[in-house]
Amino acid sequence: MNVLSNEPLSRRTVLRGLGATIALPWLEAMTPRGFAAGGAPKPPVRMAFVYVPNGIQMKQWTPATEGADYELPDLLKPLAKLRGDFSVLSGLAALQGGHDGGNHAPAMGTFLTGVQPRRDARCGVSADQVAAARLGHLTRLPSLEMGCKRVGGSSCDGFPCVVSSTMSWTSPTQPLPSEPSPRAVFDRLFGTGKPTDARQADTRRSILDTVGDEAAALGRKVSTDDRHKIDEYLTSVRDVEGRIQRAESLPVPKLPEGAVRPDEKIPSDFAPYVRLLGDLMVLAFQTDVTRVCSFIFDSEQSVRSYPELGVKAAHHNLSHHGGKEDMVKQILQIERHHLTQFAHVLNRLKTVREGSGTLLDNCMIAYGSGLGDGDRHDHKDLPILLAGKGGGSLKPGRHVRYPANTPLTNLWLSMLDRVGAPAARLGDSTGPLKSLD
Amino acid sequence: MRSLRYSLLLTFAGLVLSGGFSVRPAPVAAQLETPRAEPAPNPGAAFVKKYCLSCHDGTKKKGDLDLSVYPDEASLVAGRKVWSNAAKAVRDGEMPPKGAPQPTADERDAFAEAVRGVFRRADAGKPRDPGRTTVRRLNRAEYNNTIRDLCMIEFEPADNFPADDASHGFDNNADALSLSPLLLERYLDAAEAVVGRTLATGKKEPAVRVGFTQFITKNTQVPYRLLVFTSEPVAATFRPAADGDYVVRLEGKPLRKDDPPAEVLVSIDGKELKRVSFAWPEKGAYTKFEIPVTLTKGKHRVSLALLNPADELEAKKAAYPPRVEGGNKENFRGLELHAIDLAGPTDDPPEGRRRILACDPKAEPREQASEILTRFAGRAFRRPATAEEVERYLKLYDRSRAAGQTFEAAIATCLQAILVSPNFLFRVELDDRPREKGPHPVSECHLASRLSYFLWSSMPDEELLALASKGELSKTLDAQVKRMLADPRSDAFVENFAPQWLEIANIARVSRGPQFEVRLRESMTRESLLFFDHVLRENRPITDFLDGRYTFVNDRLARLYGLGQHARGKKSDAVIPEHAFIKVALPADGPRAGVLTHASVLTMTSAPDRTSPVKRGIWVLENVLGSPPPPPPADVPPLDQPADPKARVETLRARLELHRGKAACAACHAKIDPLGFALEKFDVLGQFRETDGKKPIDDAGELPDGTKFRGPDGLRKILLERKDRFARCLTEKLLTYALGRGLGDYDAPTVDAIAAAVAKDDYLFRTLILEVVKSDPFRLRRGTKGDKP
Repeated sequence: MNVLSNEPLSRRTVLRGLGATIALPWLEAMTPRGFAAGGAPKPPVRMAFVYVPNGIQMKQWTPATEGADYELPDLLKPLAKLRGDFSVLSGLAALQGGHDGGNHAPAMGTFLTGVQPRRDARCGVSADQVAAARLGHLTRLPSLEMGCKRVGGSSCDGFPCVVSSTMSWTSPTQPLPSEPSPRAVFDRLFGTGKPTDARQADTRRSILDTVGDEAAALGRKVSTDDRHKIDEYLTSVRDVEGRIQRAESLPVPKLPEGAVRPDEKIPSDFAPYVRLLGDLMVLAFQTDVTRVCSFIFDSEQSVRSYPELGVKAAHHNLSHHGGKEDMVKQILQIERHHLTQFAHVLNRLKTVREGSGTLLDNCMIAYGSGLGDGDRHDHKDLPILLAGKGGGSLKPGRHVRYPANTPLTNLWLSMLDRVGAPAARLGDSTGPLKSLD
Repeated sequence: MRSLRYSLLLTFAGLVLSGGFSVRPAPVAAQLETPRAEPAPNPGAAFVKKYCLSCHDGTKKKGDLDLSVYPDEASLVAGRKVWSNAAKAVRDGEMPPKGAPQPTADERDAFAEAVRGVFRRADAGKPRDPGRTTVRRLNRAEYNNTIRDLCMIEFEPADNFPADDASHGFDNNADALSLSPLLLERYLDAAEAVVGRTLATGKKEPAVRVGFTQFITKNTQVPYRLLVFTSEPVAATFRPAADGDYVVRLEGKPLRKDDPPAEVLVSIDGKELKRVSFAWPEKGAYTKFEIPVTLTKGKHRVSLALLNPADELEAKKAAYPPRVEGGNKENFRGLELHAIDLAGPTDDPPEGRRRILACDPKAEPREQASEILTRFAGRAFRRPATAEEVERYLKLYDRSRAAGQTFEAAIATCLQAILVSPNFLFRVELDDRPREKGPHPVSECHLASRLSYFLWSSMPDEELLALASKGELSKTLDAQVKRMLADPRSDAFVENFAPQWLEIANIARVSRGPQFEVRLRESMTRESLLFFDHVLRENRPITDFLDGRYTFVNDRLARLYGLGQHARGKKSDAVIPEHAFIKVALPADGPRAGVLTHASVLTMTSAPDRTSPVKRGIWVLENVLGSPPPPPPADVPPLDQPADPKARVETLRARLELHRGKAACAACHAKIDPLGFALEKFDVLGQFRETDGKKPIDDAGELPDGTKFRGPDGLRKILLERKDRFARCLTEKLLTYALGRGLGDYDAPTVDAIAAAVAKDDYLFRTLILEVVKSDPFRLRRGTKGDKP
């Protein structure tokens, strides 16, 4: 059973055999909670953020016209069959396009925070974590952070590498590492398959009590910088306590038939790897184990090469193509490949029936990069897609162009509104984005 | 207005100082006595006026730098960062830029020295700021090693933890080591597994198991049991394969339910072991005994004798098998022996278990718990645990007992808690002299941890802690460093520091096509580690890293390098074994020497499909010369290709030259590219080549100051001429690693002092390590004054 790496995709994904016939676990088990206000319950809205590194060839990405009837640009062709399910949002920018030096690493750190990361690894709170803080108590996991293993050297533009490989931050000093192992993601979502041991939960609770007290006592004795670290520890203690408590009080998620615990070995090719993670996200949403996900297709400044596509050069190197045709051709191959995988994830969401529609209808899935034109290292006019109907609050299927340098964080504010975690500000935001519905 | 006024002052100062930059005897003391004395003028003013102000004045402010607003020494000290960078740029020949009038080398040095002189005078008499490291979480390697030494088990639970983030080049940086809920969950899992393994009793399945068929007895056997009626012993022989602790296991019962218990003497090799009494079993089919015994390897005889046969006469009559039916069975009395085994050897309870659970056997359980937890917490926290802390764990013990846990289970719960407690996971250095305003030594316990995590990536051992508790550690640093480097635990220093300094830690993650298989990657890494290890163990000068004409290869690398039996052209006598690594001398006329030509470094500084002179140049600047270029600016304009395809440049060198033609790029790339081009004759895997495809390779370069050189030898020569910069660079790296924090301006005097001491001692590597250990930032902590509230 040494799986996953060399096998055709269709048989290998965790959702093997899963089709529209599978009943919805949240309907069976979770209706009484929160969203049942008499009559048919309204399914919850889920949000996800998918990141791709090194920018995009904007010429092949941006539709020429606005509105619903735009002609599908070359790069978006893999999404042709889904064009009614997503919108292209142009003109959004990170920090008004300005960044202080080192342009790859901070691109990811800024993406969901709207804050310029610092060289001492301080960043800001990310949009997904704003949602997790507000909605986390409703699900077993407040949020899910995952992403393909980082491929790159040790240098990250002079920034701590955490900035170039982490999208989610619960506080300016607390990055949430993304989990690269599909098996570990699965175990986090559904447990290891062992029956939950109430004794173990009790023991852990008392252990956490004890060490929480110790940390609080310690926090009173140390200086400010140290206290941040101890606070970070205490926050984690509370978070884990919450998880234990929710794991006990919330119904056990029912795995759809055919869902299989992934193999420990990580697929070596990109497509099966990222699809496996994508399927786990679908599974997490479907079973309502979490409603918030950040998903790093690949880390910023990634030097992954794609021999399976015949692309031997590194992604990052190709992004600095200087207009050289053969390099542009190759990077377009990579970008198209990424979008093909994204289409796969959207299709999965669409095959799951939920209420009177599909799971995708109740999702908001943003896809994009913190760099626009990677060759120039710029952070203006970012490539952004927004897929799903957000429970009916979004009107996908269009190309919307916003005034130049509209903060990307405005989009996140709008999404936070729709998921039920409104925020007044996020990083450099100036107010929710209009024209989404 | 401001800048105009200062410009006037500067001109004046320039006139006064036009004599040059000889370090003036500081008039500072005199000034202090006369309150209205003139401030000491800026000693670099004349140089700045002559070479810098045409760009860096109040009007042009090139690079947002205005050097005209620093009239006196005090202003230089206030603008310390600006001026130390300026001095560095001038000394390193980066400024003034090409095309501008160039100072002589002497002028450069004098300027740099004058600026440093100002700082030195400002710092004189003042205690140096030793800086401050935030509480530092154990990274993965440190966690594994600490668990190994704390619990005395071989187990590496941290391999499942999320990767640690690196900052300033190392993954032990306090600020970058964060603790997410995900990680805390892993800590909980790991603690459970660690305590489980540590407290396991280590009982093994019986090594020797003997049924009664091997009994040597006059009594005839019946298939399932042996009946013993007489006092004449029955015996069995065993041949345990090893010395150790064994258990003799017996199962039996009296013949009849109403019989009195069968009293049996168990002997081993004729010596009484134990008397046992087989009563009718209350539960199960037989009464069981386990008798521990220590045996040597070899033959042993276990015998059983019934002590209370009915009577001798009857017993003698009974020297025949009782018949199942009829007969006078009721007249007999005796033992029905079902089984006799020798089980073992039982392991010693593992050392960790024995030492962790050791306690006064006569004490009350709660006192025993207190003894166990006080000792374990003290070791885990690397300092004596406070009464308050122990009390907290005892409360957990009480709670666990109240919830029905056994003594050992309750202790296990507490041990788990200690292993996820902040005092274990973080290296917390609470100040033992909190009222002291100025820098002062860290407590000896903390010094022990600083040492052990620097050189062992693990907790201090008993010797370090014992010295620390006597307050003698700081007096014996030389001897301790020597001892610690001789200890195998110091391999951790090689394994953790070297790959991060050389930036080869991620070699497993790069892709280079099918020929770059696992064995080649591992061989590459191994070469560099062995080389580093050699310089360390043999106390070689650090210049060996630059020009050591030797290396360590196995067959795979020898093939890559063309060494030994794989030598191209002239034959070599050396035969390199297939799997083992051996030290080989490198040909004096060959291209290789030092770490710069290690395949690991050359591979890591290449793109998957081509070499990268830019990466290699940056590598040299960052890791040898200690002056990494700033990251590229935002909005880099694309390299314009001429419209005419014939005019397009094809070679990498030509493209990069085009790059350097852009003013925005030139400043850095003029510095970076030539260093990298010198290594252009090594391909993406570090193999030597003369051509790139069909094009011959030009590996000549020119530094910004006009120095011309060619190829790896030329590069090495240039680097050796700058070996003091290398000494400073390596000092910075080591200090960063040792302190777990990025260095600040205030560390510059320390770095200078260490590098100077190393230079004075023939650049020996161990001197460098020792000087780091004895430096202020390593031994001292800031006082309250330095801690921002």
